[in-house]
Amino acid sequence: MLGQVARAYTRSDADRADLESEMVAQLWRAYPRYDAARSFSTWMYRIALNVAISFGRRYRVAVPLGEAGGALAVEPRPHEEREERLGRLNAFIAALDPMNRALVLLYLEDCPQREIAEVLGITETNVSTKLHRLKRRLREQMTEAEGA
Amino acid sequence: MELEEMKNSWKAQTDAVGALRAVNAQLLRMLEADRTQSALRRWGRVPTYELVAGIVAQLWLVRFATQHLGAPVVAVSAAVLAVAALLGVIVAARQLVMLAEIDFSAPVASVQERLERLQRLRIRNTRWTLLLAPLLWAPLSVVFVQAVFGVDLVRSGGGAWAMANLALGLACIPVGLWALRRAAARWGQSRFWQQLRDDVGGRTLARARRSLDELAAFQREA
Repeated sequence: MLGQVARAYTRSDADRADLESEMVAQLWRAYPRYDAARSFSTWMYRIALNVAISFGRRYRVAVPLGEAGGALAVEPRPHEEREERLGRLNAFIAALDPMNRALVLLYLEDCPQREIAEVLGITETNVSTKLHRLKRRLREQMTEAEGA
Repeated sequence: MELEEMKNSWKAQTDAVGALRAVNAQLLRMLEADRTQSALRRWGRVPTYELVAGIVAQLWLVRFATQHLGAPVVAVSAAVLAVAALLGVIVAARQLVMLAEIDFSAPVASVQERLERLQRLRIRNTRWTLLLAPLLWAPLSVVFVQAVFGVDLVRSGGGAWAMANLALGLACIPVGLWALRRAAARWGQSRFWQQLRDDVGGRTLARARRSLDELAAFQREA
């Protein structure tokens, strides 16, 4: 999960490694204050995303994920078509503002809407509406790209 | 491509074992070398220096002003600098308090809003410091020459000297802005010059305002 967040908020491998270090450092630093009665994943997502967005703000990293060859090409894949679609999905995510990017990342990580709302600090209704719009936009872009 | 299919493709990007190994490697490296410092700590460094320097300057200037009450211009110059130092101390303290209040395990929207406000305060501080610094040139030189050489510059140079220095300070503001733009254009690759130009020119401030507006829009019920 940390890897995916770091990938979504950075452009180069070096930045990604730095960001992962920042996230791990922050998690360790915050751990003594972790309240075991609360969800661990929510706590971790909050810290990871807060560090990632702050990291992006500090360096003002433009994040054209689709162009970040090194970052995305984890290993050669057999299905070129799937790879192409994945590239478009990454480009879509990269074009979003940091908060909406966080929303989509959590959705893709299969987080329930209640947890997304808790992580981001917005209402569940708001999450649902925003996700609905984002999915529609994504579908439109995918259809457009496939038609071209 | 259906959304579920996309989700699966997305997950396939993550090699869980590889990611865990990478994180562990990062952790080991961090524990061994202790090179990693959190962004928050780095953000706190500058205001801490500003706070310490401001307090030291403040104490010294107040003492200096009281020692030179017989030379009103020197005393007033020191008082003006003391007020400027006090403002610096207040802004630095405010930044440190805001920083201390940030809990990264709090909801993302609220943490980012606090960070953006902190950023806005920092930018405003840099901008006004750089813009107003030339105006402090005259009192600074009066205090410096008096402290180092024991000479009252205004008494020996007359009121014309003080006015000329004030005018020089005012003239320095547009010249400084022009020089900054030139420096940023010449050393365009340098993040330092770009940042300085954007801070003084108000671009970073405008960007921070936009980010705050975006955050507010994000938190609003759609």
